[in-house]
Amino acid sequence: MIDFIDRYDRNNIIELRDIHQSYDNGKVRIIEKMDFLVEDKPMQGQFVVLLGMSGCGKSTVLRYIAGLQKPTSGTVNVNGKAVGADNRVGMVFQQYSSFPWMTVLENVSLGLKLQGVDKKVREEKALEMIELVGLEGHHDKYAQYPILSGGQLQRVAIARSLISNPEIILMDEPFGALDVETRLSMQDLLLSLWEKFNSTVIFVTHDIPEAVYLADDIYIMKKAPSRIIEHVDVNMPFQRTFETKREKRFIELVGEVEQKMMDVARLT
Amino acid sequence: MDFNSLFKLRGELDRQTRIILEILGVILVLGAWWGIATYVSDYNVTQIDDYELSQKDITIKDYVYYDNDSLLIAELDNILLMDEASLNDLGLKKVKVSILPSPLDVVKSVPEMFRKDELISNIFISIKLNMMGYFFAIVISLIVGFAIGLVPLLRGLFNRIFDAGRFIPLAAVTGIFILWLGIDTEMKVTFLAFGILVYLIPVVIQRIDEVENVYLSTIFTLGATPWQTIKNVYFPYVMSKLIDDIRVLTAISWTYITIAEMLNKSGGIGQLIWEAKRQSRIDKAFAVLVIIVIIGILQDKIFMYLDKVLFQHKNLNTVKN
Repeated sequence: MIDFIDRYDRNNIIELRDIHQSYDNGKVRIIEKMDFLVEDKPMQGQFVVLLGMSGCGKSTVLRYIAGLQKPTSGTVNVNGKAVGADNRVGMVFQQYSSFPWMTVLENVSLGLKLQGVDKKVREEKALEMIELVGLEGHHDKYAQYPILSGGQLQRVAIARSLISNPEIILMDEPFGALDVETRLSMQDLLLSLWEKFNSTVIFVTHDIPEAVYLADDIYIMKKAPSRIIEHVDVNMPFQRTFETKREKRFIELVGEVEQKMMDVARLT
Repeated sequence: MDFNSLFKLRGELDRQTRIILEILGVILVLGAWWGIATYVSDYNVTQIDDYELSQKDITIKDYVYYDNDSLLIAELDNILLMDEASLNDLGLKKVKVSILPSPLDVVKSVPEMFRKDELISNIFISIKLNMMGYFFAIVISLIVGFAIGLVPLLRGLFNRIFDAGRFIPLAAVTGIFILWLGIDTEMKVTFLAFGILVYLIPVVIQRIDEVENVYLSTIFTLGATPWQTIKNVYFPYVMSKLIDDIRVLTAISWTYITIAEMLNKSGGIGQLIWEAKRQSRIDKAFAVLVIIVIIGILQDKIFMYLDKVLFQHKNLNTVKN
């Protein structure tokens, strides 16, 4: 089990303490005694990946942080405050979540519209963001498949989250439905955006090489009743590129994470 | 296209075959219609069109046969036994009528209806009545449907009741509506609106239930208030689906308009059908039915056009104009 130790000289941007999650009046226990702290690193950000088998509650953790779900017991704080209307965090889902009745521009600027930002200002910002995610020229298209490809739709979702709150982004297997080539280019796009905005990214995936390629820190959850049981400090320099995946250190890390995943799978 | 593929389950027809089959279908139906019209006929007693009541020495007891349609039907067996002279004294006549008018008779009856029955103005009376019915049905269904679909308290209280409303036999509630609202436009519009909204309200609720969670989660994480969620997700999602439901359901209204317009003689296409029936002018009744079908098809086209204009994202346009 990992002990998240509080340090007086550091702030946590995300704090989950003593989380319990059960269903059916306690008969089904999903998460038990779980802590999860993510340190705030201003001007730097960090990339945290949650790994674990299906059904271990990885997505549930993201849903807590987003305020979409409350744990049966325990506290969830974002930016030092309990999750609420004033500290909402953007989330990118595996399913295409763009609103198909809106254009790309309307989708990306939606968060600002909800905040009451003037139309001209929000559209200017949205167009910038659309360009940053590589969708220039597509802003007038309806955000739906097959007008846009799967990868383009996820770019819309990322842009929409970033524009509202670039500080924290939650990503629940966002590239899970994409083909390999698109997936790889999306990973690079995500890293470049992360470096630009210094965001704190919490990323859920099943793909170990993807986890190692993207992460600062990898946390592994055991099967239900679940909690975080292993930590891997990736400790590889950025800028990471396609060549990074050929490096010895990268291959070793993938092996190490695989081994830990297998060890964790044996735990009850 | 080979013959076997015409019977393949859910097989596709190519365009040419489909057009040929559609034309063939129309010819078959018209042919069957023509055949029945030519060879199947029966005697019927009907009113004399230009009968002058004032010139006859007619008793009040006999007069009711002329005036009251239902009595004519109730006493039909006795009336059919009467000879021609006795029938004429009652303002009635015995005619040999075909069970179906031939298609040609139906077509020929249309100009007569233009001249004698004010066909155009009656059509517009019915269209106006229907439009008012649609308007109230849609407005009420949206308000009630959204309220019940979105607010758990209201859903708990009323969902089952509104769902059960679909089983109300609408033709049978006319009496109640007359009792409450009289027999004028107000009653007719209420009746027509009621006929649509008992079906439309459960559909609105169902469409709200169909809104995918990922959209609700997404807008929630963007910090939307409940009202912003309704405005930006529920409303556009539900409306884009509902226009098809409205298109299908408003067709029902043309069924009920014939009932509504039977009730007093303030015009409308439904009344034309009842008058045609009283005069045993089945050709006219058929002509009115055909006209209703044509109006229905046009109405459908208008809804499809509106769908295309209002909900461009549902169609294949890739760029918003």
